[in-house]
Amino acid sequence: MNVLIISASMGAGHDGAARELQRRLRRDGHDATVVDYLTAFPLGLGRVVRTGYRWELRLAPWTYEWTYRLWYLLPVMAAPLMAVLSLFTERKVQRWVVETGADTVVSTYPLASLTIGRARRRGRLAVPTSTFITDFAVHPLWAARGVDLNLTVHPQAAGSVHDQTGAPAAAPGPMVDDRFLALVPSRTEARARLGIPADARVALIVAGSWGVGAVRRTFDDIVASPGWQPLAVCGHNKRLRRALESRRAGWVLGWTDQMPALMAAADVLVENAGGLTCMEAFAVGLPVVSYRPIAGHGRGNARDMATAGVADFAAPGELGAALVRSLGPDGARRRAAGRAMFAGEAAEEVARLAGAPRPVEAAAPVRSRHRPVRVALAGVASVAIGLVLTSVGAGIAAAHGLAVAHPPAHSSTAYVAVRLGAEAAADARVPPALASAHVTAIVSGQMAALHPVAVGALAAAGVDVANGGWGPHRGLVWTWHADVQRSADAIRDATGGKVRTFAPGRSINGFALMSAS
Amino acid sequence: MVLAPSVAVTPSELPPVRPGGVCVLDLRTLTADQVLAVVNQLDGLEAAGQLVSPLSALRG
Repeated sequence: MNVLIISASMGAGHDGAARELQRRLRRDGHDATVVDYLTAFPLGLGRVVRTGYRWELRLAPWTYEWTYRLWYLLPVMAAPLMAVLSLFTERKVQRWVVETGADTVVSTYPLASLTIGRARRRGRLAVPTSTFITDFAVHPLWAARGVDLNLTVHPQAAGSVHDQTGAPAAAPGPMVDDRFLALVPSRTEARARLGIPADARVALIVAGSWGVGAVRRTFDDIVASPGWQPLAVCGHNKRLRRALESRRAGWVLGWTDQMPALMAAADVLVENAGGLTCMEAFAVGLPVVSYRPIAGHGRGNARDMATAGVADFAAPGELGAALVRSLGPDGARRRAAGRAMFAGEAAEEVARLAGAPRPVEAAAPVRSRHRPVRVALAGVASVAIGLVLTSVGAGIAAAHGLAVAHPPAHSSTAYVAVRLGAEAAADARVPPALASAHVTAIVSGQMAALHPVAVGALAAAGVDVANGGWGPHRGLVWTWHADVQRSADAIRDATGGKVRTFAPGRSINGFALMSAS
Repeated sequence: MVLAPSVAVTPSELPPVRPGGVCVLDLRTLTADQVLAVVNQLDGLEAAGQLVSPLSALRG
């Protein structure tokens, strides 16, 4: 049997799962070829996508958070995205299928899944397809319609993707190297090899092969936790490594293939993405704490892993308590739940699928003599569709109550809020009067930052406090999110609690929905 | 998220507060005494039988 595995060189997680699947298939006597989906794009666009994603995570993670949330709010946008992706890459994917003589295609990357799913639905791909979902949280882009089988790392994720697609789903467990399942050195041996004292309490910090996220703050928080020392792996991020080494605390490493030994030597893993390293820790039986997760899938994975009971999710400032917890009964329960994930064998699921009946026959690919024009038109169309759906479409959705709070039908209650100025908010008579009248006080981020005592007094009196935005916004529409987030942080700092209601004084669009969701 | 136009309020006159509606009063230019006067009028509405709730009671 020939298996085509489509991965993507976006970090090490997708490739890691693909290589491990390839190794297992070959072990079982099959041929398996791994290709990089990003090379299917013309004109080197794949490299642009990868570089853009990398710098987005480093410099503007909130924009990644936007796009990540956008798909939950407006899943209808998946269709035009699929069309554009297919236009760019489907021909190359079909060529890979022919060249490898593939009996089945497996994707470990969501955009590749969208492409093969669309080709399958339209009868342009005859062989059965599957997706191996490397994330714990199943983002809508992972849930590609048309894909015959979805394989996940946990039953919770399998339930999620089945609910989203209606397609069969199974949870064979994470795809990690055997070195993490059976060949892990003992703690004593690993510590002796790494020069770590036997009695040290060690928290292993990982941030993926790119070393992205708030790693410096995590490192400092561990140093500040009594009795704990950090062991940080910076991947290929040399700047991060230099920054951590300058702190002269714990141990700091660059890219390493000694993760089994590092995990054997550590007492707990502190991670920020829910990626492959996290799955490796589950295999080893190392307690996992998610902390200061990166935007988008990092937060989603941290939340879903905590819900599934396989990892702890510590809020900023609570890492020390989580580290201690990881060594007790809670940690033991989570370790057991993590190891229980390795119940199945994805390679067997893939092989079984390849032998399944093939209801869809392939049609001959249609060649176009106007490809450059089509590519250009598709690019322009995709940008236009994105902007229209993000602004006008979201505004229409908002006007009809989607993602917007609204009174219950036939309610006899009036819902009242007041926007307050700083002077009135600072008057000691106002907070109890508002609380007594059951009226919401809408405050701006500016007011919370400049008059935290007054805003805190509102919350202390029991007044429902809402976020009115930072204040007058004169920037670009996509910088508005930063204002909303900044005001939410300022109000939270002043009141000591999270503000759940956002009451903007402006028109609404997709950026606003994403900001408030 | 709550979407509702803000209504500028003068100290002497409270705009209509309708059952089943969302009313956002812009009191940013009012003094504390004037804000308390508006709140007293809202209290009066409640005393007259009009139920009043904060925005957090809205359905998401």
